[in-house]
Amino acid sequence: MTPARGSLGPALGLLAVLGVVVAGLSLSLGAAWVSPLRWIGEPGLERDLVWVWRAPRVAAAFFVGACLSLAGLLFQGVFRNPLAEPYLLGSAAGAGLGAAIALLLPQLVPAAWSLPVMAFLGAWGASWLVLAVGRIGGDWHSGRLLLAGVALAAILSALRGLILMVFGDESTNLRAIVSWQLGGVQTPTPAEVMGFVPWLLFLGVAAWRLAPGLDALGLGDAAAQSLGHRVPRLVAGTVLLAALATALAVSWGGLIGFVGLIVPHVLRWWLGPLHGPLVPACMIAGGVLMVLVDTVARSSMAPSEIPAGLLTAVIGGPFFLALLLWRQDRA
Amino acid sequence: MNRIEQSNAPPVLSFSDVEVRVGTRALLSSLTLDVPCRGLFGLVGPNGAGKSTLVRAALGLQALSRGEVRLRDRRLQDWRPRELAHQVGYVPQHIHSHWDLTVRELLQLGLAPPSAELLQDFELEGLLARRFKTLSGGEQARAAIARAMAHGPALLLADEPAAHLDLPHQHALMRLLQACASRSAVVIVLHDLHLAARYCDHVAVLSHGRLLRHGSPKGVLDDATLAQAYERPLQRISISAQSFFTVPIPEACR
Repeated sequence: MTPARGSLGPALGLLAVLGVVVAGLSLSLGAAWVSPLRWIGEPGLERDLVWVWRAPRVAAAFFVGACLSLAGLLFQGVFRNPLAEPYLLGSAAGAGLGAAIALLLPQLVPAAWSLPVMAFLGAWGASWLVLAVGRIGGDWHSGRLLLAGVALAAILSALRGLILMVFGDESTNLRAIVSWQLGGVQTPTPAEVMGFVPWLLFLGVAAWRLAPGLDALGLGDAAAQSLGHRVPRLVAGTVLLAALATALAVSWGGLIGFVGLIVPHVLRWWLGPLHGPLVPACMIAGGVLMVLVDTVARSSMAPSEIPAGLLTAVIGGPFFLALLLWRQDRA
Repeated sequence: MNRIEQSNAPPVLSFSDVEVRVGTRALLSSLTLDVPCRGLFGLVGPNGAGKSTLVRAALGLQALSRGEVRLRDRRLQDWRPRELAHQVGYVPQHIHSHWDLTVRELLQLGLAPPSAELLQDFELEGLLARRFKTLSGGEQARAAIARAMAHGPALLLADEPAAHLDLPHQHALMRLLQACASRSAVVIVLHDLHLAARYCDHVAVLSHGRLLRHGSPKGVLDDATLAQAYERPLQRISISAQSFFTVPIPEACR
């Protein structure tokens, strides 16, 4: 009857230690093993491999995982549905459609620039459409929002497939789209890595500010309103923030499922359902998980890479089912 | 029985010529009503009478087609949501949480932490670490009311909190609300006329969105008013001066 709740401080400490260990492994593992002793040795190929190629990739993987799990937490909170996550609600499908268009565009605009912008537009557009449908009749209805998201996700995925069939050819763009659809973390430049920091801070602070409203929303719209929250504004702000996080994740990692579903679930079991502590915990845990997944993706079949999206589905699905069964046994 | 004395203090909540329409259907019509600043105020009437709509209007959740609602002599729409939340506590009809909260976590969602005295009054000290979902109906109602009262609102709105409770818990809840009503105005939606007569200081009878009568339970809950409200003859079976049961008269006996 009495749930055991973990405290945020020790949990963040544990996740930070885990993060350091996983990041260390990720810097050393790959097509070639680089001992930690050589990370800061004489300049050379191995040091460049670690700091020029692997370290930015670790940062990008962390960024993708943090964004995905935060988006999942926000979607689950606002829809009050444990199944809600970017892939179910059309947000990731919108980002996917936008990115596919960017990759198929004639080379007027470099994909490195157009892809994140189009992914943004796709995710935001899809989220606005879901919100508009959910608000038909004047009242917010979370069930209708969720159904609208599911329907839109199916439509957008079909549209993406149609566009690929009609406009795709044997060019490298099509290969890039297929590879990107299966999910895989891109390697950023050092300047792009620095760009991750303000995004993570913005997302974290904004989500943390929304947390009390999401907690109150769990008691029902009327109860949340009676606690001083403007429910329509809260719902709109949360969905758009989650869409932004999804677009950022899709821009750097392609279509990677399950992270946004699993991480908030596991942490809710560990730390309890209040969103304030879950925001930093989800971002760190999601980031660490994605670094681990990306490390396995690029080192287990080196020099080839396994698409990270396949790994998260293959490993994440059974892991999640096992956790569900374990929880059922203990309940 | 601890009846609140009538006072000349201004009402905490006023409805002036309020009309709420959804399409062509009027949920509330020409409703004018004052809620005193102290005491337990019961809203009674048949299903669809407009009781819950009245509560939603008092929370600012229901758009008005006409008229205005004033809280502490200030129009409801002139209050900032946060200010309004500090003035009004709300206990919904279905007390539930989508998340697996403990009682302590539920109370954290309120606008202020509950005092030790409040926890004692609501007998919640031993339940703080329990999952809210595993509590009995009576315990859940106590926790929900404690959350709504923790910040000391001027007005508590409770929409049928006694609906799913057994008899002893219904009376325990009404006594608790009666105690709250010595500090704040408490508006409660009730279906049980016996509870309204026994515990409420004021009663308003609604039917088809209209206010039929309001005043003390003894003066208002008479046979004619109840028959008009429920559109069938009713018989009151008195237990004491302020307590009675109401039963519909079977057609065969009319």
